[in-house]
Amino acid sequence: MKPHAVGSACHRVQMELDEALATGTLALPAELALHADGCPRCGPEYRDTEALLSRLRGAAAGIELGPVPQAVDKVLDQITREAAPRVFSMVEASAGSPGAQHRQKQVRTRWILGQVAAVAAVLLIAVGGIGYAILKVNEAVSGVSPGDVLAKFASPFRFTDTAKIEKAK
Amino acid sequence: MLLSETARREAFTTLFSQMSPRLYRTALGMLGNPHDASDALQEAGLKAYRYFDKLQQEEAGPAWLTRILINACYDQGRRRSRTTPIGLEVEQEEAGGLPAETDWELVQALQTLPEEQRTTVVLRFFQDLTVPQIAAVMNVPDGTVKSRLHAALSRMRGQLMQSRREGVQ
Repeated sequence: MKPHAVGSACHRVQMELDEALATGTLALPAELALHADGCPRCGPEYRDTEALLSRLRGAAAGIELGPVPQAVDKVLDQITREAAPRVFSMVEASAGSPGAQHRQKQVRTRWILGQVAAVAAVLLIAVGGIGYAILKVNEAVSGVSPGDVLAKFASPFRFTDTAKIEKAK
Repeated sequence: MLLSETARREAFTTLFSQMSPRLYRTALGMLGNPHDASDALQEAGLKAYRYFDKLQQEEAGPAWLTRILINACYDQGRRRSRTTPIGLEVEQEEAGGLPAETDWELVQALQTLPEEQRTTVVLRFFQDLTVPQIAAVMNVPDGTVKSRLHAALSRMRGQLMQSRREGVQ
């Protein structure tokens, strides 16, 4: 079949049919509808397109909705059952049942102890580091090794001091 | 939305109950049989309730729920495709079972379309969404929706013409 001449009624019908297939709505102007009704070239395509769109619109309305209420009930039953334990646990927590209170107290104590231990560890590391740095600076300035400084500080507390031993004798 | 458990359940129940007929039609168009459509509707309902807190605006509820349903249909289709080729198992309902009004020939023609084209047609005609609304639900540009719709409807028109010709012969 020859292609439709551009601008001819058949061509315009074809364009309208293409648009109808792309949007799902066929609204042919009256003069084109009149042409298509009697035209052996574009008429069948026009009628088939119109019939298809009409059937598609009718198909949705014709679908039996019998299974819908049952499916909806099943969903609503299920969510009610799922919601019940959640509501119970929320109520239990808000009402402050003994079990919940005990669990909360345990968790809180464990958390506080953990925090204290972490802070103590950080302080210990910081003091050690700073002390060691000071001793190293002292060694660089005075030539006294960190070990000697520590020994000097520790000497009053040591009974192995020879002078004290002599004195005690 | 930050709601109490009861308010959350009530808001969801209202949205889901209102939307369920449209969602079921969509699922039937997508999957081709009432049993799978009902399963997909239930799956979507439960998933939507689980993530209902993530819904920012109430007005976005229908599009959000539709998106969840489409994903549920894709999952259902994939599960099914492991055992049965898609498009070959559309149920022709028996008398006394499901209704004669459902256009099963059309539903069957839908099942032969690629997944994205099928979704586009179903959203357009079974949910009566506009092109921009479909684009928002599927997160694609309007032009993509139009081209998918055009391709899908051309194909369906061809199939239905052929089956009519075969019926005449």
